[in-house]
Parts: sequence; structure tokens; C-alpha cells
Amino acid sequence: MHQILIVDYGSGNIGSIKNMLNKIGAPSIFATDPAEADSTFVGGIILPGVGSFDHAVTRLQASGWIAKIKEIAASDRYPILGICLGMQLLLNSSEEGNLPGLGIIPGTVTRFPDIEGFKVPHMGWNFVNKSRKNILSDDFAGSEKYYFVHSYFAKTDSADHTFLECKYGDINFAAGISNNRVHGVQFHPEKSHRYGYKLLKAFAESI
Amino acid sequence: MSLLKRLIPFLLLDEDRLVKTVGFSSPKYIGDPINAIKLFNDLGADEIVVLNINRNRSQNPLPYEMIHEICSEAFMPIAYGGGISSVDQMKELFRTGIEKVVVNSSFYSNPSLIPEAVKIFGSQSIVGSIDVKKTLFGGYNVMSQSGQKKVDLSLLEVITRFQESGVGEIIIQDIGKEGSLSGMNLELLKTVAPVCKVPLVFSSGLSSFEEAKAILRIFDVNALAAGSLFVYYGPKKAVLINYPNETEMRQIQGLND
Repeated sequence: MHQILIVDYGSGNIGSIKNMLNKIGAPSIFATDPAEADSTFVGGIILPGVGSFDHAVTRLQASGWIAKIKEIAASDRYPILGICLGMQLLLNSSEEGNLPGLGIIPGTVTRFPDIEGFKVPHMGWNFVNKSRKNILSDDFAGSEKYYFVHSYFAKTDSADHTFLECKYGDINFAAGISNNRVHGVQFHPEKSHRYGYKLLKAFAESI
Repeated sequence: MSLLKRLIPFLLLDEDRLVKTVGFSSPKYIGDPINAIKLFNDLGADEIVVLNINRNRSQNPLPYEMIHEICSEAFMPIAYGGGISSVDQMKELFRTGIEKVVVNSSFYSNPSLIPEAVKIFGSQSIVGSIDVKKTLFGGYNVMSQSGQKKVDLSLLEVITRFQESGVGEIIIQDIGKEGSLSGMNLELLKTVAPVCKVPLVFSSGLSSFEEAKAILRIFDVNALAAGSLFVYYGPKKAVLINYPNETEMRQIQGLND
């Protein structure tokens, strides 16, 4: 039976992720040590993230997770799902920081402009649109909404790597990105009740 | 795409129990908070506000263990309020998984608390909550300390000061309507809605989801909050956790219009 490993690098409340996976019936473990990702029992990784880009990169670098995640992605050992900042870390870089991201999915992260009527951060529920076929959104009906909290938005270099889009003000940004079996979502599935459950279930089933 | 209108359950916490009051008094036992959260998960409530109304809350540390349990169980964002008086408490609350903190009485006793908190945590994480009580002459008094103490400022002055302090949104509760299920105070809403520059969460007295739909359509209010409507059902007020389903929510939010 394969477990989902949730990377614990001090990035806030990961309890909700585990709880939702529990509800789905997908066993999971928290891990601070990248060596645990080599266990034969691990079938997938979730990379959460809250806080600033450079701060997260520094912590992941120091603990050895950057190297481990790159290795897993390069060998396509098993699927990876980045959540919120965890998704942004999969890209090349972010305007929020100076350090490079993992660069597993080519793209960049930019700050939302300050526009009247569209406060930053983008915080609240918003609808997503499917732009590409993807295993995580296969059974989406078209009315899916998710809970977002972010001041920076992502754009992938290739449209092929964005499977979910979201609009805030005039900005169309990547809400779901994917390259092979490495996925990322800008929203918080663990705070998006039935919609988050559906997506995490699809991820668990892809293991 | 602008912000979706919201329907927010207010859950009143008294130690390890959920209760429901009427006019901020006579708390009646509703049930176990964790069970309620689980039900709201299944029902798809988009956001919940948990308010600690325990009488001794200012003497004790915040119930972090209970809050942690609530946050771990909840599949939606949780806001927490009730006796919050320091930045350290807020820090711990965010670390525990709370999305937003709600400040009421401390704003009057320590006006620098909110500006300081906004600088550290960002305005989107700080909510100002204002309790009002209708006077005999038709005006409103602003109350603090769970409706016990009168604030010596007009309602409009309080709203303005909260906004200037940097809160991300404002909650307004009408003590006289609280727990009544008799319909919201639209005269009050008409007064405050134009003054609020930040998202307004209007509360108290919501009698039905039909009423919610009408109010959201007519008034410039971002969200409506309710207690009784989400925890009671029927004329005998049987305890039943409930929330509109996906289709009903779209109706209420006016998405199908």
C-alpha cells in the first residue's frame, strides 16, 4: 500500500492536508528528512507551502529536499503535487525572491498589480477553468471553485503545462500546472472542501 | 471576476461546547464543535467564524488545543475571535491554522493593536467586529465586552476608525436581532453599507436563505453571517447543522441570474 509523503519543512498547518487524505482513505506521512522519500512505501509527494519564496527555498535547500525532489521528478519515480507556494516553487523563479525555484516546470511567478477593486492578496473563493486535459481534473464539471490566498501568480512558459486557469481582475493566471507527473495547484485543496477532496482524490488515485 | 458573495456560519464556542445565544445571552447547548465542523465540511460551508464567548476568556490563555483540533478538522478557512488582545496571540493562532483573527473589544482599549497586527500579518488576516444595540430613540450604541460596555463613539465613527486601522473586513452584529431569526435589520444595513470601504459582513437575525438572496442582490454587502439559521431547523428550533447545497448557493449568490 503506497503512502503519500507530505513534506514538513515548517510551512504552516499541514494537518488539514493529512485530514483530507485520511477522509479519502489515502494513507500519508509527514516527513522532515528527504531520505524518507526513498522508502518503497512512498508512492507520491505533496509539497505544501506558505510564506515567502526565498525563505522556503532556503529551508528546502538546507534540509536536502531540493535535491531529492529534483531527483524524483527527473526519474519520474512517482507523482508530485505542489500546493500554493509549493506550486510556485516548481517553477524557475519568482518576483518575490532572488533564489531559483526547482525549475521542474518552466515558468515564472509575478506579483498581482494593485488595481482598484481587486485587493492583493487574492483571498477567497474563485472559479477555475480547464484549459488542458489532466488526470487531476478529469471529472471536473465546470463549476469547480477553490480557496485562494496569494499575492503572486504563476504563468508557465508553455501553455501545455497549464491545465487550470483562474481570473482575478484582468489577470488570467495558472491555477493548475503539470509536467508529466509533476503537478501544482495555486489554491488550497485542503481548504476547499468537496472540490479539494475531488482533486486530492484524483492525485491519490494517480499513485 | 470579483469576489463571490459569502454566507458565513458564526459558531459560538464556550470552552468545549458550541452554544447559541439570543441577544448575547441565555446560551443554549448546540453540540460538539468538532462534530459541527465535520458536518459543515460535508455540507460545503465556504468559511466559518468561531467566536469564543466564554465569560473567563480574558483571564485564560486562548484554547489553542481546541482551535488546533478545529483547524485540523476543517476543510475550509476558519476565522477566530473572542478576547484577542495581543500580537503574540495572533501569531500563535495563525501558526495553529487560523485564517483570520477577529478583534472587537481590544480595539477600544488598545487602538494600536490592529495597526501593529496589520503591519505584521497583513490586512487580509485581520477582521474588525462591531456590536451595536438599538437605543430607545432609534439610534445605535456601539457595545464592547460581549455587549456589556457602551463605547463612547458613534457607530459611523467606529467604522471609520476600524477602517483607518487597516482591517481587511468588518463584521457588524445587531445585539437585539441576534438569535431571533426574525429577519435582518435592513435599516441598519442601509446606514452602514455605504460607509464601509472594506468588505462588510452583516449579521444577526437572518431568517432564511431566501432572505439572504434578496439582501445580497439589493444591498452592497459582501457577506451575510448567521448563527441560528445554520444550527437550528423548524419552528421548534431543533438542533440541525445545515447549509445550502451547491445549487442553492449559486442561487443565493445570484450566479444563475
